[in-house]
Formats: sequence, C-alpha cells, structure tokens
Amino acid sequence: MTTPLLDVRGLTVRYGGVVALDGVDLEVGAGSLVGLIGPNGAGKTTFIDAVTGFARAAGTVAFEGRSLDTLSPHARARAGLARTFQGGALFEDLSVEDQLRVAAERPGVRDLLTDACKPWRRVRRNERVEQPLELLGLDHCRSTPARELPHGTRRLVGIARALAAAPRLVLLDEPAAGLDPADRARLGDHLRAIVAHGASVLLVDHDVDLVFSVCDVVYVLDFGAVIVHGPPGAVRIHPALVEAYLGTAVGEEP
Amino acid sequence: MGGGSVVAILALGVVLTYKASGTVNFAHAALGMYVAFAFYELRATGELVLPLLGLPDRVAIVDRPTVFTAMVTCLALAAALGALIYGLVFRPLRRAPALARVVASLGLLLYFIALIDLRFGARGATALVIRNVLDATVVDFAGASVPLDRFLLLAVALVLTGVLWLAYRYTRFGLATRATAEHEEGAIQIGLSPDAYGVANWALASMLAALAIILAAPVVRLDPAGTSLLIVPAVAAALVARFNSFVVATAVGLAIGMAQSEILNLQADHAWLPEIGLQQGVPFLVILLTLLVGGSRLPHRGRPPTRSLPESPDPRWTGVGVLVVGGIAVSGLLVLDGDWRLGIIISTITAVLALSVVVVTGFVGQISLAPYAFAGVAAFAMVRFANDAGFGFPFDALAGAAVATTVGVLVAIPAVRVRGLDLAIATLAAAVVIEELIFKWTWFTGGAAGSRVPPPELFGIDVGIAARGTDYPRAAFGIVCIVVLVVCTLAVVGLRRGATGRAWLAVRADERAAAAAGINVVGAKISAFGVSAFLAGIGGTLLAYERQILSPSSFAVLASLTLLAFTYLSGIAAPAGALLAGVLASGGILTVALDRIDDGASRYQLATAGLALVAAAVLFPNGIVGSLARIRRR
Repeated sequence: MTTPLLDVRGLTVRYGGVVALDGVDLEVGAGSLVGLIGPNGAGKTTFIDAVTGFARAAGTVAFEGRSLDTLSPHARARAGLARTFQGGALFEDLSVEDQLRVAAERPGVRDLLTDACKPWRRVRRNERVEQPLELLGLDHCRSTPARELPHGTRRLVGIARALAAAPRLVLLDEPAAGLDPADRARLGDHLRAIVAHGASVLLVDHDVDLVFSVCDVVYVLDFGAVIVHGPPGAVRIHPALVEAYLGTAVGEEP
Repeated sequence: MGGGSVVAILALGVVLTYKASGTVNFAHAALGMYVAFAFYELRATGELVLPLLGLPDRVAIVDRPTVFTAMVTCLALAAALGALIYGLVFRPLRRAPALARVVASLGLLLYFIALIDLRFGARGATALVIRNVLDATVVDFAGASVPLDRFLLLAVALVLTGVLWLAYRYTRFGLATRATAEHEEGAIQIGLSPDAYGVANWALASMLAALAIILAAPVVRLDPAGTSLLIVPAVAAALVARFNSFVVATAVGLAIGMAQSEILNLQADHAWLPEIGLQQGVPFLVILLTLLVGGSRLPHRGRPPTRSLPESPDPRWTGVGVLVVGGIAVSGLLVLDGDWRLGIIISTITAVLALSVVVVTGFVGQISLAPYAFAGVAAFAMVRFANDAGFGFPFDALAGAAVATTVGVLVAIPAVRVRGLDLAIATLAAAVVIEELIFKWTWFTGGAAGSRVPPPELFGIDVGIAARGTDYPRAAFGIVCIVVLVVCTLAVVGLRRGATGRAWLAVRADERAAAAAGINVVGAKISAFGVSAFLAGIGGTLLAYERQILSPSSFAVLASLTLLAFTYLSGIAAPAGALLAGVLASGGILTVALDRIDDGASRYQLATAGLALVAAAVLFPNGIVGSLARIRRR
C-alpha cells in the first residue's frame, strides 16, 4: 500500500473545555477527491484549520510522508497545502489577477531589492496564474478588484487563488455555500477538472448531493469524531449518516 | 508626585473614552491643555477664548470671575467640546479601522496646539498669569518641604478614581456603558442608547482632562506641545490597565511620575549611571516590554471594523510624475529666491520621510508612530560615521540609514506580534525610548561636539546647505535632496508594483488568507518596517544636513505624529501622497506660497490641516491623492 498524500492521525482540538475535534483519522490519496460532511458544529472547519496550521491541535498531520506538525500556516502552504475560507477572505484591494499572483509568487528579500529597482516593470505572464484563471473561467474579470465581484465569482476566485499556489492538495471550505443550482453544477465540473490537472481535493460542504456525486471517498463528522467513511455509495445509505443529520427516529428501538 | 497625579487623571479619561467608544484619543491631553489656557486667560481678563476658527476669538463673560465661576465655565466648555468631538468625529468613525481613528485624534491634537499658537502667539504660556487654584503653602513632609498642592492634587486623583470605580461597578450608568462597549448591537437590543452613553462619557472624560491640567498648571510647565504630549504617559498607564481598570490606570500613572523623580535621584547618587534620559525612558521601556511579552492588551470589541482601509491605486504614473515634479523643483531651485529654495528643500525632505509612512502604514497597514525616531538614529549615526570613521558623503548617510534599518527591524521583530492600536502605542513607546535612551546618550551622539554635522561634499564640491548671504540655502543641496527623493519614490513605486507590494497589500487586507496563500506574514511586516526605517533614515540624514546642528528635538515624537497626519491627509497608500505631504508640510512650499500671497497667512496652515485631517478621516479616508484617483477611474 502506498503512503497517502495526506495522512491525519488522532487529530484533536480543544477550545477551552470544549472538544471540537476528537481523535480524527483521515486519509487523502494522491489524485483523489475526498468529501467531508457533517451537521453544523461538527468540526469541519476546525479540521481544515488544524490541518493547515491555523488551530493548535494534538495528533499528527503527515503530508507526502513528511510531518507538518511543527510548521506554521505559511510553511504548510509552501509545502503544497492550499485552502479556501468560508467567507472567501479575498484581498479586497487587489484585482483578481493580483490575488492569484500573491499565491503564485511568494517574494523574498532578493525580490524586494529587484522590485525596488524596477518602477516601470512589465508584469510578466505567469502560468501559475493563467492556468487557474482559464480552468475556472475567470479570464474576463482578471483586472476587477475583488470588492466589486458578485458572490458566485468570489467563491471561484477563492478557489483559483488556492490553485495558483500550485498545491498538491486543496482544502475547500464550503465552496458551494450561497451558489445557485447552475453555479453548483458548474462547480462539480470545476472540481473534477482540478483533480484531472493533478491536484487532490478535500471538499467540505453542506451540499450533500454535490459531495456524493463528485467524491471518491466521503467522511462523515459528528460531534468532532468520524462516524463513518467509505465510498459515497456505501456512506449514503449508512444508518449513522441518517442519525447524525436527522436524529434517531421517534419510536425506533434503541 | 504632581506629575504623576496629572498623568493618573489623564489616564482615567483615556480609559473612559476607550470604554465608551473603543477609541484611544491622542488629543485628550491637548483638549485639557486648551481649556487650561482658556481658564487662566478667563481668570485674568474675564474673556473666554473660543475653540473654533471662524467664531470670534474670544467673548467677554464677567469682569473679574472667581475661581468658581471660571471653573464652572471652563468645565462646561470642556464637556461641550467632548460631546461635540464624539458626535462629529468618533461616533461616525466607530466602525472605521484603527488607523482612521488614530489620525482623527492626531488631527485634533494638532488643531489644539495650532489654536493656542494662533490665540496666544509665540509667547505661549508666558502670556498667562498662572495663579494657584489649590493651596500651595509649603508643608513639612518626611523631613522635606513640599508645597501642599502636590498632596491636594494626589487627593483629587485618588478621589476621582474611587468615584469612577464605584460608579462603574455599582450604578446603572457604569453597567450600561460597559454593556455598550462590549457589544453595541446587543446593548441596542435591550434598549440602551450607545449615543447617549458615548456623549456622556466623552463629556465626562473631557472635563477630567481639563480639571487635571488646570489644577496641575502651576506644577507642570504649561506649554502647547509639551502638555499635549502628556498623553503619551497617560496612554501608557491606560494600556497597562487594559483600558479597563481605573484603579490600575491611576496606580501606573502615579508610578510613572514617581519613577521619574526616583530615577532622577538615583542618577544624582550614582555617577556611574549613564547620563541619559533614564527618568523618561525607563518607564516606557518597561511598558513596551510588558506589551510585547504579554501580547495584545486591548479588550476586543463586539464587532470588527466594516469600513476598509485607504485604497492603494496602481502608481504606474507616479514614476513619470516624480521625474516631472523633480524637474520643476530643480528649475525652481535655480531661479527662485532663498525663501522658496528653503521651502522646496523642506518639502523634499519631508516627502522622503512621508514615503517611509506610505510603506509601513499605507501598504502594510501597520501604524508606526516612530518615523522621526528612526530618522534621528540615522542622523546621529551618520555624524559618528563621518567624524570617527572618516566616511565621506554619501557613504556616511547610507551607513546611517543602514543603522536606522537595523533599529527598525529590531523594533519590528517584537512589535509585529501586536496589531492596530496596540502597535500604534508600542511604536509610540519605542519612539520615546529611542528619544530618551539613545538621543540623550552621549556615547552615541558624541555629546556637544558630535552635534555639528559636517557638510556633504561631492567630488570635492561643497553641496551643503550653508552659504553666504543670499546664496543660502545653496541650490546644489536642494538638487541633492531632489535626486534622493526621485530615487526613493521610484523605488517605492517599484516595490508597490512588484511582488513585494502585492504581498504587503495582501497582508494588509487579510493576514490569515495571506498566510494560507504562502505569504510569511511576520516576514512581510518586518521587511516593511525595515524599508520604512531605511527611508526614514535617508530623510533623517538629509534633515541633519539641512539643520547643520543636530538636536534630539528635531526628531521628537510630535514630529512623527504630524508626519503621519499630513501623509494620511494627502493619501497614505500612494507614493504620490508622500509627495503631496511634503508640499503641504509646515515650512514647505505651501507655507512659502501662503506667506507670499498674504504675509502671515501660513499661521492658519497647521490649524486648517488639523481640521482637514479630521475631515479626511471621517469623510474621505483615501486621502487627497486616493480620492482623485477614484474620481478619475469613474
């Protein structure tokens, strides 16, 4: 058996006395699309925060066989782990293209000195920026400032920015929230295209139909713990899933 | 003790305004200073000096007002001013980013200082008859003769603290203010009016500030700038109190005052202690360290700011513009008379310094109140490099700027752990520490002998400012300054348009998202502080050449506050804003032009700028340049 791309073992997050995540094990194989669903407050966003270094967590996170546990968020991003945020968290002042450049460039001190010497620089075409723009059909709004974008486009720009970092794995936090049905359908196509381009995806979303239709493996989280996981066909009909979302049916035998 | 008591009472007011509106009001002591001037003038002449330009200068109240009449009148004036300031400025800004609120209060600070200048002229407080309000009979205390008013002032501070503590703990008023401070929407839901509590607390705080400075005027020296800057120790004390505890604020305020006199005694007793500004510097070093070790001190408010920071338009044309402007300025130097030449030189140097503000505060959103401190470090270091290491121009200036960069990075490494207002206060404390511990340290500054700045020479030609008769200021020095400004502006334009600037703006917009995109947020902030300190350092060395004699007062905190104010007004997120800030600065091109139009017209410059700044913070946060860019886009 090959090592999975992302290998999470016993991930536990406590906020004060509240256990937000309780010993979660999760794997994402290379080239796969993994879904993570669960009712509100199940710990889905906390899981992304913990994996990407934004929440302090116990347990281990290994990426491409290497431990990420001591790395800060930006170092994890540089290791090939990209994410989106629920609200989009776009850089409101920057144009769509510049947003993506930020993720693609990551300047150092050397760049600072060369930048200072080039006030009239021509902005060079960057393939890492062009590819996601083309893939997600954002070419038409590349010079629009983020604050002027419509909601659906903002979601896509958030994903495009994550892709511009040329990640091995993208963690998407509710990309379908607030999208209309047509946009949702298109999002499914986009996700398949992303995987076809070589990145893996961990998809967190409330749209259970979307998750079941595109993912290879689905994990169900409830009260901070994985209650069931497996291929969508098996998970969809699992009684634990129904119970997590609807509660135990009235009159049912315990 | 007298100084400690006034700091303590001011700190109480700072805590009050923070509780009521989440604002650290840097104009708090300045307002008290103005009312104290008004009080003593009223006592002497029976006329009340009004605070607004456009109104009559003064109105007659009664012929010979008693202390009581004058006090009631002036406290009412203070209360009205406080309420007015809250309603017109800080209530509209309650959702604005910390930067807008800081600069609005800086605008008021400058306005009050300028107002006293306008109403009392150059004589300042010497125009006043300051008669003791409190009984100043000398009494015997622990073997020393101490005037009684010190004790009375202390008693006033303690009583006020007690009353506020009780009121905020046990009355509905205190509870309601706390509720509105914790969560404005929640307070409205349960039927409280944040406006009423805001007005009441601001009026109360302003009365405290006025009372403190009226009572302390015989003890502390009353002067427009110095008294206004009592806000620095007061904010420090309020900070240690987490802008929440009246008791702690008073205790720390008193402690700062006592530490200052205690260290003074120590220095007299122990000759081995270095002859530096320990009594001012040490308390701030302690505060700086507690802030930086303890992390954020300010309690969080219920809602994050919803108004955004000033826009940063692509400065594509600024690069061309600065060449044109530079060319015009050089021709001006060659044909115009001495007054104009000096104005151009001062504007040019100020513009270089303003660029440092654009980088760190405009591009990365980190409020730094220490640019002149970095400028001073570079200036003093340059003189040492020139005199002791034999560095010639421009290598001495570059070496000085390199030292400033190092100090900037050293300050930034701990300081970037905190944000917003915390950072503003941390850099303010750092500026005081640098001013007191470094500029007054004879080993570094070289004492009196080290203060003479050797004139710069290029290829054996003297390009210093000093020249005989009408040749002063020498045009060649102005040209050097303009070349430096053009180079620095082009560099800043390059940074903004390159990958570095995009990363900086990303950090300014959203630190979490920037980190998720792989940007090292701490590294980006430190690099901006470094670049900013370098530019400030270059500006500082030019300023040193212009002054010819170095003095710590050229690099005082007030200069930093004024610089931030003018840069914000002009457009803090655009390199072109720095150029405009240079033009508008006192002593610069605008001053000369105003005086040419009508002799003395420039007297109104600072007061107008202060008001314009307040208006900018409330109405057009993009500044003049940013607003113009916006109009052009439409």
